[in-house]
Order: sequence, then C-alpha cells, then structure tokens
Amino acid sequence: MVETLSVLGQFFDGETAREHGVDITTFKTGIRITGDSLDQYHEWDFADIRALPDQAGSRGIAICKSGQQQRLFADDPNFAQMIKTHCANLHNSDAPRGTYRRVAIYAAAAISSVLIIMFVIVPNLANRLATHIPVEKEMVLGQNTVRQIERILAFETNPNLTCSGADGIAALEKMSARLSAQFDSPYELNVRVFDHEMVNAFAVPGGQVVIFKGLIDDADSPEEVAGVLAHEFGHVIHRDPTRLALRSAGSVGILGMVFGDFAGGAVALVLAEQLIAANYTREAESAADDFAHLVLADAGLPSAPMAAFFEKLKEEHGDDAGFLSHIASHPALGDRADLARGADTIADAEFTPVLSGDEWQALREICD
Amino acid sequence: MALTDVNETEIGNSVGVSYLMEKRQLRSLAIKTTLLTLLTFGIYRFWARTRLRNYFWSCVAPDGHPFEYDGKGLEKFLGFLIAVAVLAVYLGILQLLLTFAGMSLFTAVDDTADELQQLAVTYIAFGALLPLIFYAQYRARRYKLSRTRWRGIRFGMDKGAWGYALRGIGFTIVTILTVGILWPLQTFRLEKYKADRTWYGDVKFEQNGKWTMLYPAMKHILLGLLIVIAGGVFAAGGEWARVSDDSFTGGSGTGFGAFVVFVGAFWIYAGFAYYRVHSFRKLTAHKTLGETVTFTSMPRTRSLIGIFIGGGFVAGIVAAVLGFAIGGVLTYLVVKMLGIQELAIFTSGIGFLIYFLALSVLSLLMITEPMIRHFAHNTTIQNAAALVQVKQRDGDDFAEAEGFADALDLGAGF
Repeated sequence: MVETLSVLGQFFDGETAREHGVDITTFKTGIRITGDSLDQYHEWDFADIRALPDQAGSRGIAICKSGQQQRLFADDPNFAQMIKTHCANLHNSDAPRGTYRRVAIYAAAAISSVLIIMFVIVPNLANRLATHIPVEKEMVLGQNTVRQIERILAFETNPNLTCSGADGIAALEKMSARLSAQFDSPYELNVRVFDHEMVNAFAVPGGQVVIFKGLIDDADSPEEVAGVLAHEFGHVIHRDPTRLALRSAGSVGILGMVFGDFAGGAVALVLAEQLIAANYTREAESAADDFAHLVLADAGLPSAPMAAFFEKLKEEHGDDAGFLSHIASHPALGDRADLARGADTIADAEFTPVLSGDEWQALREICD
Repeated sequence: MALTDVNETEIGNSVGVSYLMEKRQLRSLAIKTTLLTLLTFGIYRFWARTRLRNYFWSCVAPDGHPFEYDGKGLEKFLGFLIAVAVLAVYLGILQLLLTFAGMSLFTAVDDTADELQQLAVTYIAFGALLPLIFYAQYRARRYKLSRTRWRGIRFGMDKGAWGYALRGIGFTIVTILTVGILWPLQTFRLEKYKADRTWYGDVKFEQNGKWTMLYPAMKHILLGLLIVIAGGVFAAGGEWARVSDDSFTGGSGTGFGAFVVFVGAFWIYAGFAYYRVHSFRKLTAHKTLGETVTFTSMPRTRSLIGIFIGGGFVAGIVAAVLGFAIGGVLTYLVVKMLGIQELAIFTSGIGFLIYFLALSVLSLLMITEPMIRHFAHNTTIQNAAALVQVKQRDGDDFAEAEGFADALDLGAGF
C-alpha cells in the first residue's frame, strides 16, 4: 500500500460522545483512521464512504461508513476534494431493499382510504343523515345559504342580486304554482332570480331554488324555464342539496388535510361553490330529470322544450359543458335531451302555455 | 445515568454555540428545494424539509461540534401517507357529523347568529382535534430528537404521546377556566413532561424549578391589559362628559381613550412574545443534562420580534413585487401583444407561483435563519466536558415519523 496525504480529523466512534483527534491517511482503495485514544485503527473503503448530506461549511467534509455510527470530520479542503473524487458512492442514499414496494403499498393504502371515505362512506352517511334533519331547520338553513351565496356572487356585480320586478315575480310564482300543484312538498317552495349572466339554476336545502338571469335570457320560451324549474324541484324533493352540503363538508375536511389548509374561511367558500356548481351524482340528476318529466306531464306541459334547451346548451358549450352549470353536467346532454323528448306527452297537441306572452315578457324583465 | 464531573479544572467551564451558516449555500439550497416542491405539486416537500434540516442542524455547533440530522425524506413521506389513511376516516366523519349537528340542532335565523353558530362549530371541530394535535406535537418532537445526533450520539425521547395529549387537554381547560391565570402552570408542566422524557445518549434531561417562576415573564401581558383598561376608562369618561355636558365637545377624551386601547392591544400582543421568550429563558436555565450539565439561553424579545416583523415585511413585499411584476408583464405580453385572452389565467398563475417561491425562499433566509442564528449566538452550555462519558442509545424506529403533525398542518418545521 502506498500511503499518501496525512491529515488531522475529529473522529467519533458512535459508542461514546468522546472526541478522538485522529490522523487520516489515504491508501489505494480507502482511508485509514488512527489515533492515540482509539483502541484500534479503522479502515474505510472508498466505496463504503458516504458524505453527511447538505452540510454547512464549504471547507471540510463530514463522512461516515455506510450504515455505521462512526463519524469523521476533517477541516481540510484538499482532503475533502480527494474524497469527492475517489468515493463513487459518496451521495448514495442506501435505501433498503424493497423500498419501492413499501412506498407503493403505503401510497395505495392511503389513496384507497381517502377514496373510500370520500366516495363511499361520506356519501352514504350523508344520504342517511340528510333524512334526519328536521324540515323547519332545513328551511332556515336554506335561507341563510342563499344569503351567503348572494354575498359571495355579489363581489362581481352588485350587492343585491335578487331581482324584484313585481310583474316578473308574479309570473315566476304562477309558473312555480302550476308545477308544484302536481306534487306534495314538505317545504315551502321559494323561487327567485339572481341578476347574474351565468346560465345556471340551483337548489339549496329547504326548498330554495335560484334561477340565474342568464338562463332566462338563453331560453326561447317559458316552457324551457319551466322544465329547468321542475328539474330543480326534483332535487328539492329528493333532498339532494342537503346531502350535497353534508357530503362536501366531509370531503372538504379531508382535502384540506391532503393539500394543506387553505385557511379555514375557504371551507365556507368551497361549500357555496359546490352548491352552485351542484356536482350531484349522475343518479341524482337522472332522478331529477325523471321527476321533471312527470311533473311537466301532470301539469299538462310539454317536455320537448326542455329537450330543446339541453340541445341549445350542447351546441353552445359542448357535450359536457362542465363549469357553466349543472344543468349542463352529467349525464351527457344529448342523452338527456332524447329522454326529455321521449317523455313528452303533448307533442303537437294544444296546451295552455305556462305563461302568457305578457307574463313571459315580465319574467324576462324581472331584473330591470 | 448521572454524569460525574470530569476534573476539577473543567468544572463550570462554559462553552458557546458556533454558527456555521454560509448565505450562498443556504440560498441555493432554499431555491432548489422550493422549486422542486413546486414542480412536484408538493410531494417533494418531505425531502425539501429533510434537506433544509440537514443544513440547519449542521449550522449549529455547540462547543464547535455540529449537530447532525439523519432523518430521511422517504420516512416522512410514508409517515404522511399513514397519517392520511388514518385521519381521512376521522376527519371526514367528524366534519360530516359536526355539519349534521350544526344543521339539525341550532339553526340561526339571522346573519349574526348564523356566523356565531358557524364559529361554534369551528371551535367544536378544533376541540375534537385538540387531543390529536397534542399527540402529533409530541410524536413530531420525538421523531426530530431521534433523528438528531451530536458527536455521533443520538438524542431520543421516551414514548408518551397519549399521556401528553391527556395533560395537554387538562391544562388547556384549566388555563381557560382561570382566564389565563394558571397559564404558567400549563407551560411548565407540559415542558417538564417533555423535558423529563428527553435523552442525550444514555443521559437524561431534567426540568427543575417551579411553575411559579414563570409569572414574571407574564408582566407585559398584564401591563398591556392595564393599558387597555385605562384606555377604556378614558374613553368612557370622555363619552360620559360629552353626554352629561350636552356640549358635544368632549370627543377628545374618547379619541385618546381609543388610542390608548389600541396601544394596549399591541402591548399585549408583544407581551405574548415576551412571555414565550422569557419563559423559555427560565425553563432553559433550570434544565440539567445528566445532573451536571446546565444551559443558559438568553434570546431577546426585541430582536426576535424585529426579525419576525422586519423580515416578514421585507420578504412579503419583495415576493409580492416579484410575483406581480413577472405575472403582470407575462399577462400583458400574452393578452395585449398576442391577443390570447385564455392564457391570462396561466400567466397570472405563474405570477402567483413566483410569489410563492420567493416568499418561501425569502422567509427561510430572512426569518428562519436569523432566528436560529439569534438562538445559537445567545446560548451557552456549562460543564459540557462531562459529556464525553455519554454512551450511545438505540435507534427509535417508528413508522409514521411526523406524519400526523404534517397532515394536521402543525407547521412541522421548515
């Protein structure tokens, strides 16, 4: 062995906290550590030497032997340079065998736990619990929620979103009364129009239904609006908004944890957002559609205009118009239009329009 | 094990804490780790935190010997996954049940009552999390200690997280019921619980002293309260003068009173910082390691508040300016020059990412680092020579690392 370079270092044997002053000599395949206070000398192969990662100080180097407790500190730039050039495995992390498998298993367990709780347990629990909330509490809650949503949306336009044209309200009430006469509701139904250009309508817990002005502008006849309203009544009767509120509350808690908290206030905002976007399940949407078809038929109204409205949305926004409105969300609009047309009981026959020409005009001007 | 004094001459010898930070190294490490964290949508944060701890630990060198952090990013990641799997069940169902209770028990009829009710639900949710929070804090501390070495010897902490959670809740209730009068009792007993279970190798730490010794540290909170009360009296006096005079000229008393209340409120705020710093001083002065090694740490409230406010202010402004300038220029170029309206959301997103990146890097450099430096410079160890007798302790493997603290977002460190 050709020994070169001898430097001073501090050595800790990993058994006691005692500091050993040592001489470090380098030979062909490694380093040798000798010191008066050491019982024996240590030889470390270059291949076994690991640097302590991300250490402060740029002069010296702190190293150990792979998997061992001993530590060697040398405050000598030349020695540090020598180690860096000779030790090929200096920065190996020495992860034990099977690490990838362990990561995969843990990740799978965590992800499935989150998915099961979010998509199985929480929705099921929400469905069960929703039916146990007293109706009168639900109604008060609904009124509060509408107020909150109004406040959140109002940032974009004006503070009072609810439209108050007297003739328009009368027209809306007439439409609502004709539909709601066809079924029993535990709630007092309350329909209002928000002065907002979004093409949307949504239901909140306790019989509150909100139609956006944008939707009325987009409709060509009052029957199209009636179709949407009947659909929202379906959600109300099935208590979908209450389920959704419960479900989102559970999910928001989990998501906040996974992605780090976006400040507590965000929770309320997300809840409101959820209700507006109304991400109901496909089943809930279909059930609301079916409900609407029945109500329209019982009220002596055609459901073809509802189909026409879906087709218009599809033309304007594509098949899954996503964020624009839940009217435009699952199931695919084309299928829903076909179903609505199939359920039509009027066809070309005469029917009493849901609103007269003047009333329809009043509804369109409800926000003016 | 009790350490015996090594020899006569070294008894009472005091050693300081060297600080080995090099700005250039820290800056590049901070930028690198934050960038990787952003690019991996946050997954890298476990490794980022590990690397930053590697660095900061090795900056601090009591008696010239640096600490070593040997935690791994992977174990933090796995620990986080375990915690998520467990907490998803707890949090998901808890939130849902609370919302259900909120809906079916107390539904308010007006906005104020509605907000109060939401506040109540938030507090109940927080209360339900409290045991978990204490548990997570203890586990995180145990994890960090078990991954810290000095002179090749590990630190460690005995098990006892649930006992800590139980005491934590008990003392929190006591503190609340006594409107803070017994806060020092909580501070002392919780610190003693942790300190008495802390080891360096085979040598145990011990928290001595009495809880009443922390009362002087509360003096500025008390002073702030008195100022607020005095301000309230002034204001009330001004109001009363105005009303009884019928002259509507006594407003100066009211204004002055309000100003005094404002000063008092700020004083209380600073008083909390003063309490934390000075209770830390007192507690540290009464800790022993192996019965003979003692510590002195004299951080200054003024310096720490200065670092926190000054550093936070500069970091916030620089980051905002950078993010706004780059995001704004990009948006302008894309929208005005190229006329691609749809890309605006991405360019402003880039601006936000730059703001976030700059803010994390700058707060590391301008808040975390100066604070660690301040503590290092103001700490000494007495009779450290006795520590050469300390023997190694076994490693402390535990699967979930600091996962719970991380999942509950308890600021598990940089």
